[in-house]
Amino acid sequence: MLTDGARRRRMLATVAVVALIVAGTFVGQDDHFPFGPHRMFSTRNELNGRVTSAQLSFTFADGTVRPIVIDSHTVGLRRAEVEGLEDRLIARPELLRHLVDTYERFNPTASEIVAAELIESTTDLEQGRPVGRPTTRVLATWGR
Amino acid sequence: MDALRRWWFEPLPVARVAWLRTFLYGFVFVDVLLTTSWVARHGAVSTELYEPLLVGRVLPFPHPTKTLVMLTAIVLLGAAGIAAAGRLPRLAGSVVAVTYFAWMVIAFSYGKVDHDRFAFLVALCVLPSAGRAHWRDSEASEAAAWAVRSIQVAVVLAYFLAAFAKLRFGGLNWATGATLARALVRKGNWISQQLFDMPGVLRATQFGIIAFELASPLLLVRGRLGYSFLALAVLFHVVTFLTISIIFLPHVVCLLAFLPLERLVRAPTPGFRRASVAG
Repeated sequence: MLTDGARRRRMLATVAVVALIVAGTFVGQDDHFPFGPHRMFSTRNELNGRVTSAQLSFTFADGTVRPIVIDSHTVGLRRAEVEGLEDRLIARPELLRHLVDTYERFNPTASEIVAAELIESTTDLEQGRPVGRPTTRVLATWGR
Repeated sequence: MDALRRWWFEPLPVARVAWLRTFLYGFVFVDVLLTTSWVARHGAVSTELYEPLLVGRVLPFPHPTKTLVMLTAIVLLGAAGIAAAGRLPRLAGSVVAVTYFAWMVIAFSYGKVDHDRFAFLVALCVLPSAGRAHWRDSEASEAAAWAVRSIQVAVVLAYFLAAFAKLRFGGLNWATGATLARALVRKGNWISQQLFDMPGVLRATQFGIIAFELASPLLLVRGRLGYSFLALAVLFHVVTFLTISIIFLPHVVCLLAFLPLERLVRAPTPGFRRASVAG
């Protein structure tokens, strides 16, 4: 049996957490984790709209240019994270150096990277179906 | 009010708490080492890209250097191992709750927050409060009831409130949009490529998702209805995984709170003992 006090403490904690998560759903943001809105896939996409995703391209010292899949295994961050940081990376392209550093740390035998481009790939939708080839646009560049 | 209090505190088997601890603290290993091992790789990213969440700015969380990330993982897994074995339930369980929270700050302070943790975090916070529990315990307690009910309600809230988040961010016509098509373009595989050719299926699915989320309180209904909805929830997560390779695993593990886990090992009843002596 719980004492009255123990029961009351539990009820108070319950009410507080429920109130916070409900409030977070209607006025909160991701920043208010863990009480932010459960907004996975909550934004609406137009049937004839477009879908964008970020890509990286590295230029190595030996002259090769290679697209790099953005992933925690390559640059330490997931693609959605890099997309979340996009505004900052556009405002301060020199921050791309940190993604390059992590890549080099994970691939110590690869030749030196001398330049990096953050690229946005866009796929057009028509009636909810992808059409044509994705187009690309450079958002930020960095070079040694 | 009285009915509500009775529902939260009507004694539930202590053994269920013991099993939930084993599964959930055990899952911490899966989470940290396998399914979201990307969190640890944040240690290899410059802290200049660290954008702490509100809680990380308010509380004195140090910047996640490589050493700090590793230390957090070691303490977290050490405590989870002890707690999964049912030892020091309050102390080890509390250490898990605090260090897992710190782990979440490391995870979600780089431009992206995931939304599959709410129920799991609630579970880690409430499990220590039930005190000692053994898998073969035949007792029922109010403390166990509150812990189990809290996890169940957190699971339901996660689904139910997600419907309102969709209304808030996607608008009333979220279900008629191309949200799933977008997910398939970005995350799709062979199965999902076939879905583009079935007009209407994606939109019908979007209506289905909203209906499913709004109906999620049915999980709390006793008996067949509740179990049927539980099966539907599992199906939903499996299909999501097969089509867009996303699974809200920490949340899915919490669905275990709806099962009579105490039946995994039967408590030795007096009758059973007599029978075995006689046999």
